[in-house]
Amino acid sequence: MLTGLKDMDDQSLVRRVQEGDQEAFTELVDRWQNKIHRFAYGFLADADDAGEITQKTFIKAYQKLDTLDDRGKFSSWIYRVANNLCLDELKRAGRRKSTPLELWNGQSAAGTINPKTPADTLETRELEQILRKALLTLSEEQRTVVILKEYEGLKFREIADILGEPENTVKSRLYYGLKHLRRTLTTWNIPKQYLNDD
Amino acid sequence: MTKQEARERLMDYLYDEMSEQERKEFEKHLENNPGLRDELKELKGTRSLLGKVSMEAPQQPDFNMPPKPNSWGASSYVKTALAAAAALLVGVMMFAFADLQFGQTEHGYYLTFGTPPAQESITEEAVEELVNRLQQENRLMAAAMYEQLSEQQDEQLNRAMADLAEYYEMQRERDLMLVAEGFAQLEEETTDRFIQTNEAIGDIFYALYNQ
Repeated sequence: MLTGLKDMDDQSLVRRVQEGDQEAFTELVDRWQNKIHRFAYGFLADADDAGEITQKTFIKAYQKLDTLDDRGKFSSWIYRVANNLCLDELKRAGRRKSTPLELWNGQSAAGTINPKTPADTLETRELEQILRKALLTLSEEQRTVVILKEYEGLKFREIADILGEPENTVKSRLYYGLKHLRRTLTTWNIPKQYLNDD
Repeated sequence: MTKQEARERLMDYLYDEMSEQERKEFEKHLENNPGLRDELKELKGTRSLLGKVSMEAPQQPDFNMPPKPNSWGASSYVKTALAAAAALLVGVMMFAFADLQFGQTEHGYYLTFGTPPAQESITEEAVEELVNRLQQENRLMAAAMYEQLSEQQDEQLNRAMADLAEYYEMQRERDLMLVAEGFAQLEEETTDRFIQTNEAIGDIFYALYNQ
């Protein structure tokens, strides 16, 4: 039975879950757990919160999967659930992203860039931390689009479907999101070579 | 092509979401548009940096499946059917073992256990008392319902006000962000112009000095 489930597409698995097959739901979780966790981690930049959001996403999916009419849209649906939970988490915790006002005041990604590291090199770990902080300076809408496009590799049409927005809005948000990131990283004195297309 | 359209096409091109024909047309447009080419180069650079790191989190905990609901209790139909069967069984038992009497009098039908009730007619006073009691109970029930409705409405209003306040707060922050972005852009443009002006003045002085 398990081998059969692994060969099934998401649509078929959803149908089986709606018919009461819990093994099918386990298979869906196996397929989607990492993606949802990566999305939540990119959005919240906190591993514990990302873990919690992942759990909540699948609990909600388990409870509400029978409300999904179009089984072919499972991927958009699960991302939408995760995105809404991330936004709720921000509201609940009263968290505010770093605003560009901090950039305006000339603050750098304080403590992130190791002063002992030569100016022209950055360790991957440092770069990761810098990028996560930079992502947090984006608005929630821009951040969602950047993560879904750059790290989840979704098409514009798919992202538009997840967010319930027109495609052109998604493209516009991504454009301004990327521009904002570049400006932020430049202000933080990231070596120019990292911002060139090599 | 408007600026907005150019931006949207740029994103399609950047992420390779164009047909072959569209790509060729856009590349022709790029050849004649150095500003757009510079933008593309910058966006590619940013993307390149984003691609240098993964967003994989430290090891995530495995999802714990919620406990499987008891199959006996899973279906509401099963519950209803069982409840109906139990009620029927109780009724059958009562009919079977109780001294159930059923009959007809001049006032109507009766159904009772044991001896049938004495044939008594109800007085006018008793009817009046019954009606008064019913009216009083109705008044009390209406008052309780009204109070509950008022409380619910108050709660909803308070929630709506809190949501509105939160919305305005979010809007304010977004507006501040936009203003800050505007300032940042203005600073960048002003600095560029300042540098260009200085260079031009330097060239002029140099030319004058060397005449």
